[in-house]
Amino acid sequence: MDKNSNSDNAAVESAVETLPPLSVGKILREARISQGLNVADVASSIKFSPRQVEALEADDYSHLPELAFVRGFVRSYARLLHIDETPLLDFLPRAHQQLTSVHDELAGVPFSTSQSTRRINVTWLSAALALAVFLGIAVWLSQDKPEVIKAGESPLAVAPAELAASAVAVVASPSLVVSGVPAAVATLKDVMVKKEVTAPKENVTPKEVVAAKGEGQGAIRLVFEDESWVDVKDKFGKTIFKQVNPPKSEQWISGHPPFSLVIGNASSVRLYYEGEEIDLDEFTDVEVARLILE
Amino acid sequence: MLNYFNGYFSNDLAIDLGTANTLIWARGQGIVLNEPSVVAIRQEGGPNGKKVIQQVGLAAKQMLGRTPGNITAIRPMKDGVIADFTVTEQMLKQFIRRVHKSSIFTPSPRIVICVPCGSTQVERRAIRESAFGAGARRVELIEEPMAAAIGADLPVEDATGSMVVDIGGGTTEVGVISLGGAVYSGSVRVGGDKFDEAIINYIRRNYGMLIGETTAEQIKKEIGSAFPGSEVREMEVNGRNLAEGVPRSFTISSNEILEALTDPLNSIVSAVKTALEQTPPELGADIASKGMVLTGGGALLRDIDRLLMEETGLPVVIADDPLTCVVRGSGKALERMDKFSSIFASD
Repeated sequence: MDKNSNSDNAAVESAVETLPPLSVGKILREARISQGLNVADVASSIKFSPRQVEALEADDYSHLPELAFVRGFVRSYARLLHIDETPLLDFLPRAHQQLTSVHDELAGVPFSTSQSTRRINVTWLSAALALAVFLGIAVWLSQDKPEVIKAGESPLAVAPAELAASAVAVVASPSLVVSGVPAAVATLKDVMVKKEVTAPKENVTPKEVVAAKGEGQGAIRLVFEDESWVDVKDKFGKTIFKQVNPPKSEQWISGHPPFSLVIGNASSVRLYYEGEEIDLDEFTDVEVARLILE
Repeated sequence: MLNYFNGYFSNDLAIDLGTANTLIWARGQGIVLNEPSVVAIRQEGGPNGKKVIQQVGLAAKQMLGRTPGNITAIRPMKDGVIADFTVTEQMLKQFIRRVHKSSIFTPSPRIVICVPCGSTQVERRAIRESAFGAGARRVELIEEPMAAAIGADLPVEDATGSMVVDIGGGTTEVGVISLGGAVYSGSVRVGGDKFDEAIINYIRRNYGMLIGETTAEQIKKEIGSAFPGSEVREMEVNGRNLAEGVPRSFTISSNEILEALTDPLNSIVSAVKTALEQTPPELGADIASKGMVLTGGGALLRDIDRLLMEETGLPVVIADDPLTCVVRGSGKALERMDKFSSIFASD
């Protein structure tokens, strides 16, 4: 306020300085003296304090209120002295716009109330919720993908859930991780792209693992010391070998791994897979061995 | 979209929809219209004939009390608020059309319109609706003391008390303003119209003569005063003698008018005193050192500042161009409508 009134007064002073030597204060003072009035008479008539009347007569605007009031003051004083107020008011500058830009800068700053804090919380909450929904969609899409591939004609399917402990599950899970984790942090749009990018990768990865083992064709050798019943299914669930084998015989089976084997009278059967002997005791339950070969 | 398009061709307007006069301020142009709030309506032939607007503004005012049977000159505003909704809407529409020269597009301006601070929600809604009815696309209301204070260049946004007394045609508004808000605002339904009414009643009672509103207003303007001065002025008045029933002329003095105006002036003085009683002491001290500012047509009544000075013992100053203070203040508010929304009144 002080700053404002000072600037007002400075404006008045500068305006007065540029005026002819006869100032508003001087004119009023001379008129008052010529009519035989003293400051106290004027002050009691127009109710401004004697100090203010003296300040006006001395053109000391720092002790006077804002311009709008000074103009009114001059008008009242001039009327009291029966002199024309118009030229006196013309000497004074018109009050400038009070709505200064300083206030504007402050006017826009929001005041932090409990309500506005709550509003911010709500904003954050909704943003977090939106992010969670996106993540959810991303994860869902990435989990959805292996199923699509399984249903398709890709030569390499992800192992069924019950075979998670097997090597297939171990091989398949890195691919899940590969496609799942980056997709989870990406946006929905990214996920769609990712899906296309990761899908071939997924097809390739297990193939490479298998190729290292046997170039896509698993070779199983079974040596029977006693009569035994064997059932072998390939990756498509198709039975490729099912028969009762006579004692002291040997069988070679090839096809698309993984193979699902059920071997009866397991204690008298030796199993070799790609040249390595596999101990059937681990898989045997009451003379029947059930296992999956990758 | 269409509104935006229309808005491009429409000026924003600030309107002082007063009981006596309507003033319109257009952005970038200043005051573009200052007309009495009077509408003359003509009833077209037959009992079921439609009503058409004959004249609006000054031309209609000249018809007041001089109309034949099929024309009625109406003042649709009374006591600062709408008395006749339809007529007010039509009047506003005519005034808005008058300040918009372009006839290709229907004007659809944003409007800041002032309301008495003592007006009820229903009265404010009526003013808002009539402005919408007259074609406004957005209407903001501003309370008259605030508009008057801005128009009188008072430091409304500073932490200092400024007191403004706006004596309008229908109401007198008293406001104490600090930091961009009204600390106290009060309104009494006493204004220029009540002065006229008091003069009519006084003359009928003491002279047995009947005069019209227009004559009463003339008397008020010429010899009316609010405080006994050394100079006594006289005026010759024509009216109808109630006893004889014929027009007669007589002479009335300023002292008699002063006596006639005592009652409405006392109401104003008591409204000002009530405001001072209700003002917090710090702001009261500011007012004591700076004084209060008078605006509105009532401030032009001779020596009304003297009356308030003597009654309150405080300095009283009259604003520059008091008749247009309210509309100028509304106009300034309009110019900063987007940034300065806190000063607008709610419904």
